[in-house]
Amino acid sequence: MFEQTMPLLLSGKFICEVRYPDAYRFLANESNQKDVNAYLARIGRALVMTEQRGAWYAAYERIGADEKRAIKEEFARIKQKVRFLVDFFVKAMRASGMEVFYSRGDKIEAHALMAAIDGNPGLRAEFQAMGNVGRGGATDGKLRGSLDRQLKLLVEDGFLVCVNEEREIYQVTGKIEYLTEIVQFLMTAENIGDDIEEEEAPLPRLL
Amino acid sequence: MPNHSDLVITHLNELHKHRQLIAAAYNRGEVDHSDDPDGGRGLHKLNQARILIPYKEGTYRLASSLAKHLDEALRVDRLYSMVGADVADLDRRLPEIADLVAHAIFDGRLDDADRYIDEFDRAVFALSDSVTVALQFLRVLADNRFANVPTYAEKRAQNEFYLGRVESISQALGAIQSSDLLHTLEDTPEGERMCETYRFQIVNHLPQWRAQLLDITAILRDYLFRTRQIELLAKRMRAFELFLKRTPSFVPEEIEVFDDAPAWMRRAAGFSMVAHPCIQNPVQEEVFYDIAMAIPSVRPLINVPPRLGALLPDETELRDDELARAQPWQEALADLLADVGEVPVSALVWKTQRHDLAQLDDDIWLLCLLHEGSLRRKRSADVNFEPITVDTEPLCGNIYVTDLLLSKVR
Repeated sequence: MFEQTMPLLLSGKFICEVRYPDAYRFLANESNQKDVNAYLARIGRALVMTEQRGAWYAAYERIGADEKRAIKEEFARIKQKVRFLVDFFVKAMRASGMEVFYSRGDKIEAHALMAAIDGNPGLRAEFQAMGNVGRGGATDGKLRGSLDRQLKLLVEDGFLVCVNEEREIYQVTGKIEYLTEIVQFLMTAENIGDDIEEEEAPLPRLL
Repeated sequence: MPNHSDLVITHLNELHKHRQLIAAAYNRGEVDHSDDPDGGRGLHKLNQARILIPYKEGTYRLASSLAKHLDEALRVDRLYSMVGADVADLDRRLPEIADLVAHAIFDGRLDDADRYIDEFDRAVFALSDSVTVALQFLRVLADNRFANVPTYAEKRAQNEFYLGRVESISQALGAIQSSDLLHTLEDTPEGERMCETYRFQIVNHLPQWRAQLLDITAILRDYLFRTRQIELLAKRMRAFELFLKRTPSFVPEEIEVFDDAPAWMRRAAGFSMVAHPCIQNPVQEEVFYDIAMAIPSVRPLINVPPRLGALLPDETELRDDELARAQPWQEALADLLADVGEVPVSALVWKTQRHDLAQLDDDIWLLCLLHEGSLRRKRSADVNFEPITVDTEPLCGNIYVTDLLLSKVR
């Protein structure tokens, strides 16, 4: 299993139970972790786990000038995507009536999500507002098309895996924990509190 | 007089006879006259046997002791179940019953002593059953993470409640261990019988029970911590999404990368890796051979010379009469246009002079001329088509053309 796991780590993949169950089970063994770490250490990498312990990935062991440049480039990519990622998952969470944020293994059924969004005009407008993402595909203004593009983009980025193509069922991977760590960092850096409440729409006054 | 076991059988038979009524009372919470197939007799019998207790006007509920037994037998989880609530009480009762046994023996009331020892046994069984059932119930709850409630807020509330129950059972077990009832029983006359029951049912199980309790406590505490974290995370993500919504121009600041940067920041960019087979390696020669043999051979392209054909004879030319012929009205129109001068000519009068046009209907003829006039063709550009119409009802929309006067335009 070492041979299968190493290329995944070296190519920057997140190894979680949902996406790479065999590699994840392999890394659950402490002696295997040591083997992998010893290998990675020779090329300046280290095996690390997300804070919620749902996914493994390779990180720089030492930070030199090259690593700093690579980290900044990666952060530039994150800056471009973080708004869409947070918007999508939180809005999908609201649409599905979930009170907790998505975690690894949670399922997203495209049809059910579509029906839930369709039934809520406010959410529909919000999903349409963030609809112009994804490569290709004319933005014809149709919600279904833009939702499909969003899901496809999330699969390409490794946040979702498609577990049933026919029924369009997706499963959230352990990479979602990486996103929550980024958000936590941004909120701390920007001094954003956890207790922001949705403002209620002001009641129209009677004449 | 029937003996004790006969009474049990009689009672069970009575329950069996009215099983539908009991099931309805258990499942629905209450029954009334309409539920009794015996027309009320079943309700009366079960009420006498204290199985059904009067509830509201004309309705009955199941006795809580039987409901509890069915819950346990069917493993039905009740929200906020008072699991193990009687453990401490039962534990306090045991020394009291042992004292009653001792007093009865000192007073020479051996029958009473026997009855008290039976009572002691029952109390020990009840204590043992209560702890065992409570631990099983709590373990299931802990393992399935309160799956019977959907919301995390409720899961957390249940978790905290059952942690309290675990704490009280733990205290009761601690009290049992420290009370040293076994030694007290050994000093009591006829204590050996009680000792045996107490040892086999309680003392021997104590270490196992305490270990189970510790496991359950650890799971519940861990899950409580996780539910709090999960709620916090959801709150944080919602807050960030709201912040993004309110500040559409928000773009994260550039980061400063320090040596002790958090793990997520140090995530290494992936290598793009491609591997090529080493065809010089003789070890893999066989594998390469197999792969090569598995590739389907390409057939050489064979250029088949085109087959020479023979020329087909030309098609016979169409005869003149087979070519499209001008319609009679077309010929007539051409003739009329040629005849028209400055003096207006009536189309119908002209037609009557032509005997070869007798077959052509007047209305068709007029329609053809009107059509010709509307086309504004070159051949009829200098011809004026003046329809002669009949007065009709105003606004009826119809124009009745009775004739056409054709004349050359000056």
